[in-house]
Amino acid sequence: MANDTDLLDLDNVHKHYGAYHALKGLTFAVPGGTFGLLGPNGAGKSTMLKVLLGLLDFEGNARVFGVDVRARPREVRARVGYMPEKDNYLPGMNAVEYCAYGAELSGLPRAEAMSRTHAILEFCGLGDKRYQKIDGYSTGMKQRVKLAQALVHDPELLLLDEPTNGLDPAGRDEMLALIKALPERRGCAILLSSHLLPDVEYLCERAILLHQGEVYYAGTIEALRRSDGEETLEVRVKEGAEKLATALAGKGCRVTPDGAALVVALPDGAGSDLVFAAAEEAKLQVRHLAPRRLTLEAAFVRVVNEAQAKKQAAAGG
Amino acid sequence: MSLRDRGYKPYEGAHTPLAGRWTVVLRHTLRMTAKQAWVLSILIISGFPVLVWAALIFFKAYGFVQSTPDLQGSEGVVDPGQYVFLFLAKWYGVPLQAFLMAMFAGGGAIADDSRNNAFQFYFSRPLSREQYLVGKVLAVVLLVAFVSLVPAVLLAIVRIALSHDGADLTRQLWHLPRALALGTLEALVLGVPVVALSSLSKGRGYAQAAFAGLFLLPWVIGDVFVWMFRSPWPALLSVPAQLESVGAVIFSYHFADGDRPLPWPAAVAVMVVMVVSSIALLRARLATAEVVAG
Repeated sequence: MANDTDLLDLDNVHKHYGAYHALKGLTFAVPGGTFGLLGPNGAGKSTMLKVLLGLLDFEGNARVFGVDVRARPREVRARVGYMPEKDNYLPGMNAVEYCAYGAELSGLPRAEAMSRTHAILEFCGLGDKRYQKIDGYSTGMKQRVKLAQALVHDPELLLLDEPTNGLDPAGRDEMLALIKALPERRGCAILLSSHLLPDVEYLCERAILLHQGEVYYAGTIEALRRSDGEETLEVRVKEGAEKLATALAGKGCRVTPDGAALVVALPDGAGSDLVFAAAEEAKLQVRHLAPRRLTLEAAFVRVVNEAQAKKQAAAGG
Repeated sequence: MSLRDRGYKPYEGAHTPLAGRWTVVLRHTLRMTAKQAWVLSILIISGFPVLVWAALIFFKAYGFVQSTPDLQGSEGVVDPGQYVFLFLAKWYGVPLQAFLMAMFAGGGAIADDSRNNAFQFYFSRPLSREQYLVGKVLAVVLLVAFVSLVPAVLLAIVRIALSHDGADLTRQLWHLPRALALGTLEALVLGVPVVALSSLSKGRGYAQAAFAGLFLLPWVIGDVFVWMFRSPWPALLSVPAQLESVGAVIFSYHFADGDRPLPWPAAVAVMVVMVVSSIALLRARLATAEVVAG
């Protein structure tokens, strides 16, 4: 249920490109924080970003900071910073000229734009290179200057499109650390669009999973990574997993073997002591017991598969 | 808090008015374009012809130069104030350097942004495409005006300063608005189409070559055909011929008997079509500019 304080609030947003239905009734709300936008190519991520920036006509309603994107797109863009995937620097400019230009275009007075440019370039680690032409920057420095131009006007929401694209492992770690610190140090919310699920997992609290123009999941990453949307445990014993599975089933648990481990869904109200009790009955020693978490990639695949299976069943029935 | 963050405070002051954002594009485009070697060279070099023409006006006004064949109208020796017209419209005046300025300043105006994905930089901000367009076009038009209109106005002022008496002064004062009118027209018909051509390609070289072709071929071929067929119409698409025709009306210049100027309404019509269609093309091209790469 959306409310007035939501950062993003999309209600039945559709977008058609001719006969192609790019967004199919997107409905979700995001309260704030750092959230990832996940989806394969063609899922509708770019189209959704365009909708959020007020660059496209669309059907339905979309609000950013409670502002109607369709009615007041420039107000929204003034409060959003966008770091695109591709390089977009202007030839012949150094980082100071480039960021100050961006700040002025976003509405900062000239003197303020220049002063904040120096501060943000320092923040992004480009302080000593700021008067060097951007054309001569390394990939890592270009990524940093793209981040700086997106941050220079103090946006409330930062849209990051593949921010670690093309970076070596060390550069990627530095960029991720810089982004991770932004909400606390700059007070902005972040929407991260990325194919790199480890990046999303590291940075984001929430995720929106888009597939073929539909939202397949919108919620916390923690919940997404639960094996089937409920709290489960991963249990390992030295040997005799089948016996333990039988004992657990007898106590009302749902047990699924996963290699040498058992994935155990406890009955309502039960705790992990039930597993130990079942192991004792079966005269087995529990060697490992931990909450079951899927990798984000596995969770992504599961959610897509489940949604597609549901659609096929609906189409068949 | 990191040392790098010390002193950071969110910006809470007033923002500049949305309607004036085109001035930011104009200012930065002017600055960045004027830094280009070719543009800077033309700006510097364009000062010298002005000195020569000013000297010519000075000597003519004091009777040192009685007649120069090229500078003579059908009604006798040209008044030195008319040199402003000749400076703006004749091949030996400013059209060539104005063309060069338009080509070098305007060829990359949109093409460079397109090649470097800079539309993402502009349009993800609270800047409309129209504002971007106004800023870009006006920057090129102003640079062309700097080598055509500004020197023409200076020459008009020189002539006014050399007025013999009150009656002469009253007559010469009219050269100022005339220079402004023809100079503005020249800057527009050269500056706007080259930016439109720039929007058609990601390479400034292609835009510059296309502009050179569209400017020079009708000029050279038109003049040859005018001479061969003894008709003004082959020069219809020649910008210098159009400027000469319209400028003659603005400056009340009388052509020599052998001259075949374009009828001025036709020249005005072609110029209007060129400028309006260029703006329409620019708007159409920018409407499809991608901001978020898919």
